[in-house]
Amino acid sequence: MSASFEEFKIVFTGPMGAGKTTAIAAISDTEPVRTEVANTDRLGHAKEFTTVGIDFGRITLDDGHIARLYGTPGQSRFRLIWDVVGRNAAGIVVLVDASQAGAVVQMTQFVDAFRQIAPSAALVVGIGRSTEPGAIGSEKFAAHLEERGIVVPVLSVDVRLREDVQLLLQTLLCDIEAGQYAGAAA
Amino acid sequence: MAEDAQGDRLWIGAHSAAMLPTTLAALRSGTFRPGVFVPTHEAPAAACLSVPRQDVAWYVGYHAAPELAPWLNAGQAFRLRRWPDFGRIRSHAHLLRLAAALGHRAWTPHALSETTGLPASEVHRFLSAASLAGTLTCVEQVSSIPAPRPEAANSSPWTQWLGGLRRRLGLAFA
Repeated sequence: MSASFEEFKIVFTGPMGAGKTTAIAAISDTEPVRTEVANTDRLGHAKEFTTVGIDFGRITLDDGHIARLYGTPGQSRFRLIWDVVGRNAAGIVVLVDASQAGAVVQMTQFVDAFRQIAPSAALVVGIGRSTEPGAIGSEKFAAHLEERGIVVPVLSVDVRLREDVQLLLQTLLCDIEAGQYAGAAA
Repeated sequence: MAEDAQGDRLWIGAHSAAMLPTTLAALRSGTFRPGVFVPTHEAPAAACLSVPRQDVAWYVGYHAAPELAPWLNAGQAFRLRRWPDFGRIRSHAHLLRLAAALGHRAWTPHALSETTGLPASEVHRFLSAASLAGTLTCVEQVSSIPAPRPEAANSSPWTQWLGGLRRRLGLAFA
């Protein structure tokens, strides 16, 4: 893989309002650096603030190494930032809001973009608000990826809960390791 | 409708099943053992939860037995077509390792157990559950699948580094 210990990074991405900033805050050692401004795209999402640059958090290991956590802006007009942040990432967490009508299309857009930007990175999809009335079930997201031959974890989560963000990370770490198993056996 | 010896019931529909929260807890823990299936027009109680049928299949398959399901062959290799939704299923953390391995390539049950270091019974339960839930696919040409070299993976600097991150996050495997 092209990721390294010296710059081990996990990227949280997905459309506006999916919970990227919240997820980073749930596990970062320090208060994340945020680049939120007033949301002027109220048609796209009703939230008051949105990320326009990157969010940044970190986890310092006992041996002093650092895992860096980045959150991307959700709007595709910031694609340039996706490229910069995603390059050489060890793991990608795509978050989507299942209560949004276009959530499957949105997921596909982010999965495709980041599989291109960081082709060797492990990738996990977190489906939020899946229990709200009218929300799309996670099996629809998984089936859509399966139809395209993409086998990645698709998990229903609430990123306001630290244990759910931990589940996403544990899954990502297992997937990174499994890439090592597969590589060792090949 | 399925009912067990304790009188717990679940209503099975085309895409989902309905059951009381206590029955769901029993299903997750493996103490709900459906013994009787009855066609019915009776509606589930208002307090029932709706659970995707795939999840019910997973729980039943996982808790059925520590051996491979009778329709699976230990000499064949398997891989996942899609991951189970562990966000809903809330299974043991070590099952994530099996899912991740099976998401990358096909494994025979024996090779998967050797490589992950997990007991054969857990591998069998996982494969049975994934098969019943419709997320598993069988790969016929076992001879084309390279043998595992678990020592190479386990001693990898990456594995050690990820272990440090897990410890820091309180995610270390027991």
